[in-house]
Amino acid sequence: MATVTQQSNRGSLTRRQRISRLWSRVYQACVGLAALALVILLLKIVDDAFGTVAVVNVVDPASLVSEDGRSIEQQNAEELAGLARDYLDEEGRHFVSTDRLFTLFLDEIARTELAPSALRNLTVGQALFSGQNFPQAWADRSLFDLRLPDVARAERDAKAREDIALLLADNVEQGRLLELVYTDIVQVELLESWNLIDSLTRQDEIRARAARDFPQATLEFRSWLNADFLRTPGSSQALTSGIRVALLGTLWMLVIAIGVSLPLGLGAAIYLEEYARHANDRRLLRLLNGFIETNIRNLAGVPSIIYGILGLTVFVRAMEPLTSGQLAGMAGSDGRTILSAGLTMALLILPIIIINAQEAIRAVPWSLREGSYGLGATQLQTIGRQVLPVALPGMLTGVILSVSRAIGETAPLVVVGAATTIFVDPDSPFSRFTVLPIQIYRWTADPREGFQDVAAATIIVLLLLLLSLNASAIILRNRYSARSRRTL
Amino acid sequence: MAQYQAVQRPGAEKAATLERALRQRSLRRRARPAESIVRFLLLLCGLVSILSTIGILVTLGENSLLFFSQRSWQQVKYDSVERAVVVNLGQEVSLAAALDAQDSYLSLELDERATLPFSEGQLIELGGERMRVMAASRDGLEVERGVNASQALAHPVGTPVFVHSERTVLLGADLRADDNVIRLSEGAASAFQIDDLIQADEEVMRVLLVEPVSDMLAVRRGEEGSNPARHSAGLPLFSPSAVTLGEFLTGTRWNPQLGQLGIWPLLNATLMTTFFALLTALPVGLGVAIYLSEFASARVRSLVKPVLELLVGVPTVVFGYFALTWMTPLLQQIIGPQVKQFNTLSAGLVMGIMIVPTIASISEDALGAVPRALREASYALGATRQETIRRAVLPAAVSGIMAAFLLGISRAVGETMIVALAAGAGPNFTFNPLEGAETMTGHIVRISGGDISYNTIDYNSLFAIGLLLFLLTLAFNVVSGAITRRYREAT
Repeated sequence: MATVTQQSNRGSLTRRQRISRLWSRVYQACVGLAALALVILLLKIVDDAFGTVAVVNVVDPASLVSEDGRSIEQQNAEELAGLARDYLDEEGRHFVSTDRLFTLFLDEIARTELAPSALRNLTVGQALFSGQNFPQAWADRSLFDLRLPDVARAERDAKAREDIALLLADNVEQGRLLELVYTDIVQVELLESWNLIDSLTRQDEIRARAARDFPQATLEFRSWLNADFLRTPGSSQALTSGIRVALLGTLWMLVIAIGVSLPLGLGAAIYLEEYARHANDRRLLRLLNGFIETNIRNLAGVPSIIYGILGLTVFVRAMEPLTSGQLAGMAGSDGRTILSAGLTMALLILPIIIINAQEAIRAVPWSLREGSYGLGATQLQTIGRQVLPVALPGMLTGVILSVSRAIGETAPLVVVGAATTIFVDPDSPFSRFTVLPIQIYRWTADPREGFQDVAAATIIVLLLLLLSLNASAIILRNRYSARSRRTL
Repeated sequence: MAQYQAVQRPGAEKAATLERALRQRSLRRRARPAESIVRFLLLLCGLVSILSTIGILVTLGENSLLFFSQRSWQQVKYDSVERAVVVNLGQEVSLAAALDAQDSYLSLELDERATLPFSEGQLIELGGERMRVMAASRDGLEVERGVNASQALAHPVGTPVFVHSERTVLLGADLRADDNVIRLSEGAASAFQIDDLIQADEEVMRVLLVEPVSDMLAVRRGEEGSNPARHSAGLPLFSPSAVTLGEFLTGTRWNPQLGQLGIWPLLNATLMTTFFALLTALPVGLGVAIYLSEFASARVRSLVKPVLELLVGVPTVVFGYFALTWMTPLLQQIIGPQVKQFNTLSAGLVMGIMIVPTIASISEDALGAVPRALREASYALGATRQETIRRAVLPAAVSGIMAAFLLGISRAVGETMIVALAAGAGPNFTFNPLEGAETMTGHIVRISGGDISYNTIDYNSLFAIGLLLFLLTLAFNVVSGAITRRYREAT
């Protein structure tokens, strides 16, 4: 046996070295593969976020000019309201839909903070439209009726149509109406979207195809990531979709999550590093401390979706009076609010904050503490004046890292927040919400033309946000290590 | 104290007084309410993390218990055999040509306009023999002969064809509140046994006697605190079914609405994506680790490390997008159109890319912990670099690599967004990686992402899945952590 192994092992030296070199290439290739994956991922995103689109106007704006030849931009609110009236859900095509008008009434006229479900019982005359001009006949109807019988009847009933036109003209600004005319009547429709590489390399082919398949369409180069994209809320159309609500939702969620988990996390880390290591503690306390420590390590490895389930049960359901805002006097509908999301996320990042902060505190040299004690400082003074200032940058780095985790985390928020698309800015912790990654999830899964491009643009925003956070963490770390080298 | 006593000499009362005074003034013993309060508050902070664990355990445990003890009422079904009839024409179906015992094709002659009374997988009966329909057309049926313990026989032309179908058990006649005998729809009594519970509207009854010939049941009315009430003919009857742990852990069908609650379709999909993820991540991650620890210069490391860190920082939903919009089309180009738009292969491969940094960094730690002396000894014996790595370094680091492997499994099992986007929606018990199949995490996201109503079997099933997921990942994490700690201590 031994001789056989030796035989095969011996080979010629050059052959063995060739094999060795070959393997080192294989290892290099592995690194190359990992880097390649990252590059392709980024390229794919950029490729989708920019490109040629074929769009067509459903109604030619030229057909909407007023009798004296003014274009829609120059028309006043009354004329625009008239257009909205004329195009009120025409047969066969959805122009200005009844749902759309209902939302507009809520946003612009009623200016209410209440959820639509809470509006059912209120009448038009009650508070909602008070001080506004509205047809007297509507005063006793519930607002919900507006959506169904009245607006729907308006499609046939000329009088109701006039009422609606008046209501719009009197209460809604010209700019908002112009937007309505653009989005609901003119309606730019996306026919097809090509990605960046195709747009650059196969321009002629695209042109030929567009000319054949959609002769009326215009071809234009579109950056899905643009200023409007950041400013507008989501939409049922890829072209007009934006991430404003999602961005605000992310910020709200972060503020709550960090606000809760930062004090808790730093407190726990200080306790574990500065107090729990005392050998003269009682045995029970020592056991407890050890348990906390192990527990935190294990919590860090729990799949994020489990936190989602936890949030759903504890925050959304059990603590519904608190998280829906009923205790705070707001008539929220259920517990699926930003507050629930923020608290869930706080639990998720808590172990990360604790572990990072512990490491930062552990890195503070022991001599510093001893010097402080030697000068007669108490333990609290030592922690507050010596340990924390030195550990702070390291702790902050950990916090920033956990923030970037919180920004990208999707699954628990889908479980906690769920459901529908949201068009209204969140304005309190009790609002329903959406965040950037949820939007990416929704839009990626949306099979309609263009939505994957919207998802790609959102990914770019998300990655830029993450990158800047990580960069600041690195800068902080470098400055900190440079300074500590100087001082110590 | 012990120290003070040790220095105490006979007759040194002065020293004792001094000591007492010192103790009173001792900085360490002076009460410091502020310090104690702060310390207590900080301890509370630490306890929150325990609360979080307790929350997870209680939530998952309690609702899983609910899930396993919940009794759901399902409509009682029974097997009925009837002449196959073309519904829209009222034409009865019979054999168009004689059928041999070996034939697997059964010819029929049906009108052009006929809607087929047969479907794939259906059980049919001819002259006492039962067959399963494999494919159906107007000209005939592809069948599997002699199923359900029947024998394949020859059948002459014109043999009538019967079909088996599942029918709901209905009340056959009105039932008064004081009646103790139920009449059922024809042939339905076979679905019941003595001591079964039946629910009709709100009322629960217990079966005392079954009379299969006349399709009647003798029952005790108003069981389990319900009130006997009048029920009219045609009312569907329900029977209870509870999920048992055994059924949950061994069943291969997942459809809570039908009372099918076997975890395997979901678990299998999770295992498949995990398998492909590790198949990608383990070799690549290990290769990266070996390169970084054995070959790379400091400059190269400073280039490679950020790439890995960037990969770690990319949110998983972005990987999901990547899997769906890049990996799947690529696979479709390479393998062909049999790759479905949602498939476990694509999800698994991309998940592998995601896990590479995890495996690389832990394996690199393990490789770095191998003493330098081992390598030098190997070189001194004339081994090449590769031989040293394979024969000396890797065996020494194997426990650390094992830890990386386990942590990788844990991450792959718990990963959600990639599979939610790319692996498919809908439980599917398949071993074909080119088909879509929903994983445990994907199922939780899809079900809870919709508007679910609480305390339904759907809702409670999420917790049972979650508990299984939690236990799986916890086990992998704990073992992996223990291994890592051991070799960290060893170095």
